[in-house]
Amino acid sequence: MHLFGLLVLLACFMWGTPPGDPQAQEGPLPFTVDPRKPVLEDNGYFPCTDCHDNDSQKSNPRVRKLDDEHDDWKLNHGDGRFWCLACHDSENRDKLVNRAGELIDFNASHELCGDCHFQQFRDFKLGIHGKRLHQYAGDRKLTACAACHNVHDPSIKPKMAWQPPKVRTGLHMSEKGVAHHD
Amino acid sequence: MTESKNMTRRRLLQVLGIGSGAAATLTAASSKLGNEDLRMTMLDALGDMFQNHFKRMDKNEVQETLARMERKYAAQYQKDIKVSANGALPNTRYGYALNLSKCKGYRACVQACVAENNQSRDSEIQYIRVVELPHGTYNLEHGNHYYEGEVPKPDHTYFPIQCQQCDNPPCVQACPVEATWQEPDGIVVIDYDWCIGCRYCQAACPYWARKFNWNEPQIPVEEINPETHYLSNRPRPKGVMEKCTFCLHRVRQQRMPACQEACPTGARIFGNLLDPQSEIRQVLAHKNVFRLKEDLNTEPKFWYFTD
Repeated sequence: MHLFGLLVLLACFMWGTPPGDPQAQEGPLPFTVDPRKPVLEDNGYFPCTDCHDNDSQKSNPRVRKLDDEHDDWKLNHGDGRFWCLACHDSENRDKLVNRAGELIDFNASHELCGDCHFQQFRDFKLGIHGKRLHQYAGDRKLTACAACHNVHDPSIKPKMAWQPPKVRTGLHMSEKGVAHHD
Repeated sequence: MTESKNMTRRRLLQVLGIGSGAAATLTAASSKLGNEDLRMTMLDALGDMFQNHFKRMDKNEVQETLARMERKYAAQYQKDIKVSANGALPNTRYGYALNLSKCKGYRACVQACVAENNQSRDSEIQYIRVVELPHGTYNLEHGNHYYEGEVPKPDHTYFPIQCQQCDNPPCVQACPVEATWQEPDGIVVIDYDWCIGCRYCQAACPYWARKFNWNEPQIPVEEINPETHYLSNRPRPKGVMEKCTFCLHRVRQQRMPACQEACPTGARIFGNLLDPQSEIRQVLAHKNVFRLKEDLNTEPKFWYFTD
């Protein structure tokens, strides 16, 4: 009888053992984020101090319409409640700045986004929000937030869907665009 | 009973005798003619005819079969197409999760899937079907499969469906010739050369995942993906079933499935369910997930969730 009890107890313990490698750690793998600076350099925007040298170009905190440079940028972030200097440091123009006044490198811009968008940032670190690059296992490299979201106008805009499949033989398309049997 | 069995056996022996006799004559004749190509073609044709079930082939047979296929595809498409037969990675069980809040219905996954898996362009066999649903319902009966234009449309959600790689796959049970089975990494595969095209599996699948090649598949030569696998994206013959294999040829090299790589919104998450650090495990641990038609006890390895 005692032996039976022991066996039941043992079975309970074994039931609780997770499958797979028992040595493997729980929780997400550490990650690196695909650097943004090379992309910005290619686009001709970085380093910012090429123009904003705080000598000939002093930072102007006044909210205004930009019509000399960057006039093609829509600043829709937060429905237009922000101005450039909410995220860009006014002194060191090659850095970003968070709400606590800490400087953040352009390659770590996800840290700045995560300051406000903490729910998305939690999922980003877990691998649920955002995109991983190259492979599903091993070296975990993620795309930066700014690779998908235009940081100045972050909502994803509608775009054309790829072609629909052919309507199956025996069905016809109604005016509403729904396939029905004849 | 015994007599009829004997008769069948005798008949089989006769056929085999004629077959091997013909083979010997043909090969002898062609080598006399000195045409090595013709001899190879004839041997290949015989090899095709007597090709075994994939799971019953030994290593040498597999290698011979792959080489024969490569020769056949080279002649058919005038292009070098590699066929591999990599086995499952150890300690691996694949799972997929899809974030319905993020899917916007672009069909980028479908486009990538068609290109990656050498699907017939003419008959438009597609492994992924994105269903457009009115907000507030997941009733697939009300879905539109054929939406066009700019998406997402206001007040609509998008629900992509593909093979769910069930752990209890009804399609496998339905197959009368065991041409489809579940691999050790959980992927349900088809031996296209063993399939008799009866379409029982298509009827058994509750997810519309299996597609039939009514016509000879048409793929533009310049668009053929030359990296293929015996059990996944090699060009298929007419009259056989095919389905999503989670891009078996890619994922067994730890690459992502083509649909995940192509998804512009990051709605798709793929990984090894046995790896506690994998992203799929994070989804299962932190999100409210559900599986499609779970009540059918098919045990899908495909989870849907919302933000």
